[in-house]
Amino acid sequence: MRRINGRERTVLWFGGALLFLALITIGGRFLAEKAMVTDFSRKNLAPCPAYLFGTDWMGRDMFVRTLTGLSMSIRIGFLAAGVSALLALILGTASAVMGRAVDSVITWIIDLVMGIPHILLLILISYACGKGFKGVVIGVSLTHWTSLARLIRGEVLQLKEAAYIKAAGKLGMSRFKTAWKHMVPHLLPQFLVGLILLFPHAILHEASITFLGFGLSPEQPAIGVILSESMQYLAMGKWWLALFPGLLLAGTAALFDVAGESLRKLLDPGSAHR
Amino acid sequence: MELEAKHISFQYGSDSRQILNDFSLKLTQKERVGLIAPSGFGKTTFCKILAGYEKPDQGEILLDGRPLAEYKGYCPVQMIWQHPEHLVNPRLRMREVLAEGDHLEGRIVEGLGIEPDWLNRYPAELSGGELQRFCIARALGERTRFILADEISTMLDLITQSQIWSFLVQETRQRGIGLLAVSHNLPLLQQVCTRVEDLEQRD
Repeated sequence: MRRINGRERTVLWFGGALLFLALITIGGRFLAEKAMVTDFSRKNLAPCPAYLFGTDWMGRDMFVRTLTGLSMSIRIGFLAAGVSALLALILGTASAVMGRAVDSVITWIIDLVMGIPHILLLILISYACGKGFKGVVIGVSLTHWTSLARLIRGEVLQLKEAAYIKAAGKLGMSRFKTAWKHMVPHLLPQFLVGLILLFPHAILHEASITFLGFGLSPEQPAIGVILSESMQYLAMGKWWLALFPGLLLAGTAALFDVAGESLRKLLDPGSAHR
Repeated sequence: MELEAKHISFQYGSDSRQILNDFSLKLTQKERVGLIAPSGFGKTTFCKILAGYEKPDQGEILLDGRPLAEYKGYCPVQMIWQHPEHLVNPRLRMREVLAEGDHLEGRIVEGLGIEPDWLNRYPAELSGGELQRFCIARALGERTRFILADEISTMLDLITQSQIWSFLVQETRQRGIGLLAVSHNLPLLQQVCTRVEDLEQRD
């Protein structure tokens, strides 16, 4: 059998991670009904072949609940990371091209948001927006754009001064075409990788504020809700209620990280040769 | 057309040395002028000002009596730089670099010895000399009236140097493009140019 090279292995990692995450998201969506089913004839079962993650005190299948919760987390992450990355792109570019006054205002806002502990700001915004799905998405979106915005601002500033971009102006290339031809090929990889690397943060933060009670409401099958409920039963020896959902949450976050890092390697030709 | 630099003064930042002091130069489309000076005397700076990349502190650049900055779109004065690797986008293929030129004729690409195979490569896959040929070709677009060549051949071997210079001389003479050639190398300038100016002595 032919040995696969580094680049092919990276493609496989990237594809595998995306496939797995897609399966969780879609699977969880279809299992949503099943996750609500309570059956007291099977309550508090330890993990067994029929119920891989066991069941809880109301006889709900923890495997199905976990998948549904994760699916919800991923969808929230998708929305929040998307909004956040878009915000970063717009503000970062505006900061770099719209002159000094705009730049100092935007960098001041970036410093302000970065200066306040993430989780605190997140709780405040989520609470102010009435918690729930909307509160979490707005909260995560408004707190996670800063570092990507900074990155994009720096990149655009550097590109603006690049000799080949100045030469393009002298060759009569319009500003729009210069941006499209010369800037987008540099910014797009940064943006895509930044977007994917935002996911794990968004998902973990969603789970943490839900766990603390400032996020999704208790009747929703969210990972944060599962974890906070299981706290009461941990002391009674029901270890599986927290262990498996927690592991899967950590695994999902790690997989997004793998996907982002592999994409970075694929899009930056220099690093693929290493 | 006539390109004129009138009483140009320039320094980088207010506390640094005065690089150009009341320097003037006139160049017509029929001429090939050589500009010689040791390092640090502002040869590149002067080219950048003359091509409109920098604004002089005092004085002005006139093209047929009109300030160069008033010419919008394609600039009739094109500069070829010393370091071609900074002048091409590392993420675009060489085909796209040539496409930036203004209606380039195949004759120019051939005359500079650009191989068809190079067009599909990225800048990192070509040598400095090979990249420089692309930059020269790109600057020789249809609407170019003046070429400013800033040490364009320092990184090339002698055979390639003579190949590129003889092409450039023939091309500019044939199309009536004015040429300003900047170099340390006096014999080269005497060979290529119709007259040679010394930036040091005019200072």
